[in-house]
Amino acid sequence: MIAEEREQGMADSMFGDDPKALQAVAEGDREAFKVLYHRYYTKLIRFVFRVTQRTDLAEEIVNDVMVVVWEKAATYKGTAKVSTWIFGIAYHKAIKTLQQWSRVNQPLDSDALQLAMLPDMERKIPDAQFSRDLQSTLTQLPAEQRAVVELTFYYGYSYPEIASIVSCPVNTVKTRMFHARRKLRELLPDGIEYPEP
Amino acid sequence: MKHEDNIRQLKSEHDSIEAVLPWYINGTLPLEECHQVEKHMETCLQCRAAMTELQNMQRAVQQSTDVALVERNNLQDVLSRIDKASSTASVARKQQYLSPQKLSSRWSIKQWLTNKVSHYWRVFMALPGGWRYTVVAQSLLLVLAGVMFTPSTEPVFTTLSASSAENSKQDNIRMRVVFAEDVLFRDIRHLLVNAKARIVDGPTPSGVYTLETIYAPDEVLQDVLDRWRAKALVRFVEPVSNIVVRN
Ligand SMILES: [Zn+2]
Repeated sequence: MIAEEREQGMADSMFGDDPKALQAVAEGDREAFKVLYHRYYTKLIRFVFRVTQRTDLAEEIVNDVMVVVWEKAATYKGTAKVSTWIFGIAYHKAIKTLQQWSRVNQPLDSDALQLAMLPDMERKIPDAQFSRDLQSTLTQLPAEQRAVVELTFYYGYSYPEIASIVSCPVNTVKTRMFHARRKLRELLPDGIEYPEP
Repeated sequence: MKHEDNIRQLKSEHDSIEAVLPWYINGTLPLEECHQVEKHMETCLQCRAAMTELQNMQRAVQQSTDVALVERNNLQDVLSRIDKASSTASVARKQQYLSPQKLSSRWSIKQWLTNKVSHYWRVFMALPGGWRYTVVAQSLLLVLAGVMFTPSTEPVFTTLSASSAENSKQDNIRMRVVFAEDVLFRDIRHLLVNAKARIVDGPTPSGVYTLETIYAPDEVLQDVLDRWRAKALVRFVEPVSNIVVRN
């Protein structure tokens, strides 16, 4: 396993940029695939989890995404960034899976989150409570809106890129963000303003 | 009539500016649009309030915790699935360049140093002003410490144990780590648990932690460091020179 990680480091420098790696994947290069896998796995897991709010589905969806990347690498046209292409696959798979389960907006398992916290350490951060409220409110947004919020604020995509990922017009991206904000304002008693210290 | 037109125009300008504020904040708005946003915000209180609101949203999104979820790795499953797929498609495989002989430690040192310099430079340039001075000061101290205390033993940067045969036990490596500015402690704790690391010192007033973590005998230090650098919560990683604690 460790030796494999070392090899991964070598291969990683060999397929320095995404298009090169994806090109190699298109030619059936397994090492290039591993590079892409390592490069994207964590990002995708988080993204898919944030969109679906389903820990039980996230891994399976991401695995499916990576298999699609392997199978469809040759169809990548190079008009969008590789990451946009891969995130697009992940977004659509996530939404589709949610629809299949027809259990959209399953609330986040807050027990799991609580486990990760130490009460005394939490107190050192004054806005921890507010931040957590806001985080749990984010989980109540519709998946499509949450995806736009995540892609913007966590992954740092531009709105044209997001439009390309979620396959919709740029105005729809802006509208989803707008609705997300309005919803957060409704759900949080004091709005999205941090409380005065 | 003219007045109403004017108001309508202002309203539509406000709407279109407010709609792109999230991407002004995340830094992806084209320069020209940025200028429009800035000009508009000089006079629009509503947009300024929206900015604060969106920045809070950004912070909440970035602070969200699901570290545990991302540490698992399903590569083997996926590989066996793609193998099944490719065995029917008879795809050519190119693995020859990764023969074990080429993974000599000599290559590792050279590569490590090259990467290290450029990596530190990039990290350094990405730091806010105040941090840069801190880092410069600490690097100087490290260099000094390195000069004064260089041990006569082999440097440990490369493969952390040369005699891998007797090594079924694990070694510990110490490194200095600076976490992202607004990271919560619970996230740090979560990260440490997952990475089997512990805090042995710090944080210093400038926020530097000294961590000790386990690595396997045949692992290259660079890989350990790179793995830490790849973590979203981590800003800066540097080995504590030559300190390897053997259990
Ligand atoms: Zn405005």
